[in-house]
Amino acid sequence: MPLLITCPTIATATALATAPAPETQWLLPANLFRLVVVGSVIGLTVATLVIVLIWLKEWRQGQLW
Amino acid sequence: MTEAPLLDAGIAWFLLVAFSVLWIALGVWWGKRGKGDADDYLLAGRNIGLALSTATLMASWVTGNTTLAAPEVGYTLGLWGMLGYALAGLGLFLFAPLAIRIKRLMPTARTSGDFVRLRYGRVCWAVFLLITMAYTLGFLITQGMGAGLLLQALSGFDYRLGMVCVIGVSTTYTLFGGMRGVVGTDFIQSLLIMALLVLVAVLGYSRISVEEVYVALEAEHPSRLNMLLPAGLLFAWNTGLFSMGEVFHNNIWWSRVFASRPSVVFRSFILGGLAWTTVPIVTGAIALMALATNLDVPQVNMVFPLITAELLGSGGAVVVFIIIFASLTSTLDSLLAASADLIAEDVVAHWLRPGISDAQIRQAARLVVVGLGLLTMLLSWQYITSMYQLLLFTGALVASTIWPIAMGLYWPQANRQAATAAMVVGSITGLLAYVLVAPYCAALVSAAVSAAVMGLGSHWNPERFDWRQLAGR
Amino acid sequence: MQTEWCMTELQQALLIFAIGAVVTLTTVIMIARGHARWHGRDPYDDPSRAASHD
Repeated sequence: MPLLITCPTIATATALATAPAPETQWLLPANLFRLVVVGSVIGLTVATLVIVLIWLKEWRQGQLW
Repeated sequence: MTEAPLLDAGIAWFLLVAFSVLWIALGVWWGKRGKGDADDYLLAGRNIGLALSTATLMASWVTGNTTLAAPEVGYTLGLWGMLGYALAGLGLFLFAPLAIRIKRLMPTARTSGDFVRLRYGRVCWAVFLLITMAYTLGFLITQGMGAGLLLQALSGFDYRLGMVCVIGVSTTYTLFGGMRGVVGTDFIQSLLIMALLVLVAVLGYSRISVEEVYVALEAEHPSRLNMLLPAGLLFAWNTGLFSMGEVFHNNIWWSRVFASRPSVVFRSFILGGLAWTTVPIVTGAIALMALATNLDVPQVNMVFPLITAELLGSGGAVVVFIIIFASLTSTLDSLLAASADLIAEDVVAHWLRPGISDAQIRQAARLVVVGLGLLTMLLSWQYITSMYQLLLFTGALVASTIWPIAMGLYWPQANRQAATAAMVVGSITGLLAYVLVAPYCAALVSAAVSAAVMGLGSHWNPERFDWRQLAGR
Repeated sequence: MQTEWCMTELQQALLIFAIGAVVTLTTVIMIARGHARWHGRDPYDDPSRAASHD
């Protein structure tokens, strides 16, 4: 998606993100952070392999187009 | 811009020429495979399988900005930036059920404009065309400007040279290859993007562990892990609603529905959405390494190329060049092809010259591809920063189409006056929210107001639409 | 004063977040209902029309 659109939001966001830490903060625990990072990389890897495998199957059956 | 380019000029030229020749050759080759009629040129013969359909959705939705702005919001907003950006996958997920309905209701249609015209009449169709043209033009220009800026930053190319090269290559293979060329190249481009992103993430996190990144963020930048970060909370749903507006109305996605085999339509949008959703999180996670290593980032939207080059050396810069070049061309080709279909079918065949033959529609589409390519170059010639501000406006416009499109596909009560009013009032209030409240509210306010107008208008004055009217074109 | 400003900012953000969630959820429900309405039916055979004939 065309998210150059975020630029003006980011200007505000950067200021907020670098502001002194508020009392109301809830930091994501380390294990969940790990889940987000590792899970996304595994997800992207699986998605890539799935598309390649589907392509191989459809190619062998002559069903690509 | 960074002072010194990340990539040697000789290598950059080699990559640019090699990939340009590859895309054009493949586009022309695929373009020659079809029957040569208008359906083949505009919709690749209407029989694309699951692999190509999923890959073209993925490639079209991963724009040059997804590979740059997603890391940027990951860097500035942390987890909410990554997760909020990933919510843009909602557009693809929620379009999956609509896609089945479209495919079954309109077996011979070619564009999203066909649906709006037949379902809601010409007044609503005119409003819809205005909205989609404004969005498409803004989208094309940001991709063109993005291309110039990125090649300048990565390789030291002149802004205009990079911009003209990327737009020129995309226009050329779209012109000769039509939708077949676009879908075929999209398949290779999406696999390149996905595989190389995995490579960068795995190599990067093998140098700095996830735990080390977490500890560094917790100590130095806790706001990036804060799930109650106000800016992150504001960012999240606006992105989701903006993406729904983009996907529901734009002919890029409708043309994929018409081009795909009926049995694969639903699965391709779900699979494409799942695959895409991981991209902003992966690129954001890569950007977080820049914070953890205290990398100097003079310009925040260059964080992804900078951290990749820092971690992987000159090989990393080559990988970034390929990812971004593939992202830009795969989005530009889809935009050019889908917009050309829309203009040739809706504006030329149904408005300016009704009754023209299929061959003339095909010729008109080819002319429009060239015209749009040249127009994009012309409008991107001078880099204007305020264009980005202007593009935010399109969030208000496209979000106003979500309910008219979705309700119009499912409910016979959805009436044409309400649909027109929903688009107009939703757009106006969204724009007012942008100016008077904050830019991040534009899509949200537009979608909410448009939904209320559409729902109430259709409830008070229900239409009894005969669905068979959509069977034609 | 600083804390109060931050809380106000957070409250505003949570409010807009909640509104965004409601609008999104409503849209999801409308689409899910529409999808269920037409699942397994002829695309032109409207259930409400059939009901009114009964």
